[in-house]
Amino acid sequence: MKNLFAALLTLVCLGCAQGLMAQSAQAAKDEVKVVTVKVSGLCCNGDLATLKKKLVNQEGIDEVSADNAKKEATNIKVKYHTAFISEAKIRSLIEKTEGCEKDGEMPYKVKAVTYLSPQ
Amino acid sequence: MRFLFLLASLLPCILFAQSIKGKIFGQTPSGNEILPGATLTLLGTSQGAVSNEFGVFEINVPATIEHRLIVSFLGFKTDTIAVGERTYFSVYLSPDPKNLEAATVVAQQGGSFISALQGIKVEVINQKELTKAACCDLAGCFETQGTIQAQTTNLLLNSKELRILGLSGTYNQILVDGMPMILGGSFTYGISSIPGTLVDQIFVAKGANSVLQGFESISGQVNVVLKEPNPDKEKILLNAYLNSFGEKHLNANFSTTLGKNWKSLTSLHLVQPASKRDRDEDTFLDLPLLTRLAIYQKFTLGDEQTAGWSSKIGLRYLDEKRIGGQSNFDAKRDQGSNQVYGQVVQYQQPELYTKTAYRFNPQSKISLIASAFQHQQSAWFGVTQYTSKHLNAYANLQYEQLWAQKHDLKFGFSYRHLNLAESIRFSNNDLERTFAGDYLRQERTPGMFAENVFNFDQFSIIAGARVDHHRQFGWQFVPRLTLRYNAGDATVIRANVGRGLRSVNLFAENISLLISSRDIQFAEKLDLEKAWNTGINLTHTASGENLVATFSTDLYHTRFQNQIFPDYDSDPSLAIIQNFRGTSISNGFQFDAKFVVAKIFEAKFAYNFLDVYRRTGERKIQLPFNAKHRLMAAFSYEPKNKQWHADVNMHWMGPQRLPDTRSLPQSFQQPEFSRAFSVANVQFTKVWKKLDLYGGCENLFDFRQIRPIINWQNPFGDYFDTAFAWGPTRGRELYVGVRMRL
Repeated sequence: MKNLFAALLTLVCLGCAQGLMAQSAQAAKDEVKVVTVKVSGLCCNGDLATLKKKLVNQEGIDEVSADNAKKEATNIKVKYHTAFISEAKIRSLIEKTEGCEKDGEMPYKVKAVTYLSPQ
Repeated sequence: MRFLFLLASLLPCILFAQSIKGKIFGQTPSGNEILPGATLTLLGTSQGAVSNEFGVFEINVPATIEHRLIVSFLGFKTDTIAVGERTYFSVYLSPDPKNLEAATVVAQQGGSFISALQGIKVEVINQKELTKAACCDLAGCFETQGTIQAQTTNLLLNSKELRILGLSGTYNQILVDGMPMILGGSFTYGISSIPGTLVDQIFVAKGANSVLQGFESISGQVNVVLKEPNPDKEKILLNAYLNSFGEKHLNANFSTTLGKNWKSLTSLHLVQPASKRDRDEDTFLDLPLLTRLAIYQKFTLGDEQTAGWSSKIGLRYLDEKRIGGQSNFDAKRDQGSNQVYGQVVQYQQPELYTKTAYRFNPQSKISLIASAFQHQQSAWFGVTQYTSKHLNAYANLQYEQLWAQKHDLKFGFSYRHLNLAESIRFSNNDLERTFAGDYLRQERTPGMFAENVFNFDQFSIIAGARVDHHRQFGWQFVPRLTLRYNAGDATVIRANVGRGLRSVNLFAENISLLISSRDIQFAEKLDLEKAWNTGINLTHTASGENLVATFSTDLYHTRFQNQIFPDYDSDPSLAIIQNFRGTSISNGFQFDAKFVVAKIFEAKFAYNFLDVYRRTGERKIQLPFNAKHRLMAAFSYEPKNKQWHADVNMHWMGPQRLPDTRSLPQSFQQPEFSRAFSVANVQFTKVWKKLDLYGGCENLFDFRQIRPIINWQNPFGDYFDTAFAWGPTRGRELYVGVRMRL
């Protein structure tokens, strides 16, 4: 019963990106992974900062770093806990972020995701 | 046996084997945001941690017991979390509206100096605000707020002071990275020597504040926080500026990492003089020829919030030359001449400061703050030669302890050393002035201080006191008290009362004495200047969906017990220097309103009423060059894509009382009051990814005070006076600049 409740709670947390829970419980197995996400579509000044801010404010993400923004492809390195956030979720978060050029436009596309060994 | 010993010594490690990790979020109107720098304490122990830049913390806990974590962050409600079996979890803190304003300050300020100020109303001017005007130097950084007024002290050399509550710049304390670096010899030109591109943030607090930085700051405190090396964000910053007078400014900042823990910032600042201009044809230049070179180097190690050592070291070398006066004045040929009037100031100023701290745990740390500078000046003001050498040193050792969860105690010792040698000569003494000679002031001032912050739910108290031993004046006691009360969720009321003291560096801090043709009479031995300051202020924030409005109003009352100012009124040919123990008062009222609409449009309004006067007998004498009424309005617009911004600010100055000139010959007499006038400044900035291009206009309506110098026709005569500037004299100024960030 307790486990079921915990799992349910985790699901809810994962479901709503801006979770409203005061505290979240932990899922059964947690792994720390580091990925490099190659993103295209960054052009103006604030793009990288917008994306970083979006990611950093997610549950389960421990670190976000990136080299300089380039329009063709920018590498963003993310360290995260699998029990709290999935790679798919990270992808969709990036692609569903509004750019800073035009309202409602979502210019960022994930080109590739590479797994690195956690440090 | 040895094995057993080994085992025993390992036991604590085994007990503390478990590490728990997590992430701390704060619930804000725009969603959950991480809280870097949040404090965690393991209930019932002294174990603690602080969350890092990603809001993530890690803490080692004894594996055996059931543990609870107390998580706190200013502006949010402190929460106690039962950890249970978890090794990784998220914590969400809900906002504490009563504390939100203080939180903004702390979050932006970082470091410990700030936490002492949380009960005090602090205005923050950040980098964003600084890009709204050209802000070539510190004196130009206050265009968009009403608290500080930059006032010209010497028209010919364009030296300025920052006035708070209508009181001279000497009565407030200007700190650079928390250190007293602008005083004595460095006072007159100090605030102009810091370029806007090196400033990270400026914190302005009115009234008598914390005792930690000294016994001064009667009318307020301005802390200028210089940029820290940040190679991840701003590796290189280049700024070039040119105005329509031909003055050129160049700035370059380089940030880099040195080894594993150290970071370095190198900054260069160059100013090349304008071309000679005399629009009002009074034979005097409208603005001085300014040449400046400043090299600044900062090293940082670690940060103060994490356990262990952290350090900041700043080094600066400043070389400046200002030439003003008649347009045909040649500094090399004519200095000291009694045929062509000119002023030349040249100074060199090496500076060094450090703040080194060791943090034992999240609750306690010890820090050493030390600074030194030497200011060496050689100057000519007409036929008056002035040379000075000021060696200043300051040290402050302080210990901070958070205790019983509601208290923050700081105490320590300070020592200051001042050695100011000045010399005055006249190349020609037709005016028969008597104050030529050598002057030496020496101060060795040891002191101790303590301050405790009491944090209760609805209110907080900051109580502090210090005692200092002055060589000449003996032991002096300075108490200060600040109260904060949260009246409802969006209203904060604060009150403060405190005493302030200062010793006078007469010539170094009163340039008007040297540039006037008056003789100086020292009537008696000068005592310390002493004053009590009391203030009350109220801040209210109202926020709707697309509008955030902040209203703030304050009242401050300063009463001097002893004040020293040159008395120009008793005799037109004399400046009499003596202690004034009569009634000298500053009453200040300020109202501020700020509206932010949909995060793209911002409007700010400020009104100041400053009644500054002294009484001699039955007469109430208003402080000259102080506008009783002052208005400021600032508007800025920045579209959502942040690709450009437009900024406008306007100032209206009411009439100012001018010094009494009734004893002067008819033709030199000045009106009793100056005209009211207004000045508007506009700027447009285009922002690209790595490049900003900005251009603007200061004094758009080209308001000028024409021929501000009295008896300009005869600069070596009796009534020549350059201290009559009450308004802008240089007229409209266009400028363009480019900023590059890599």
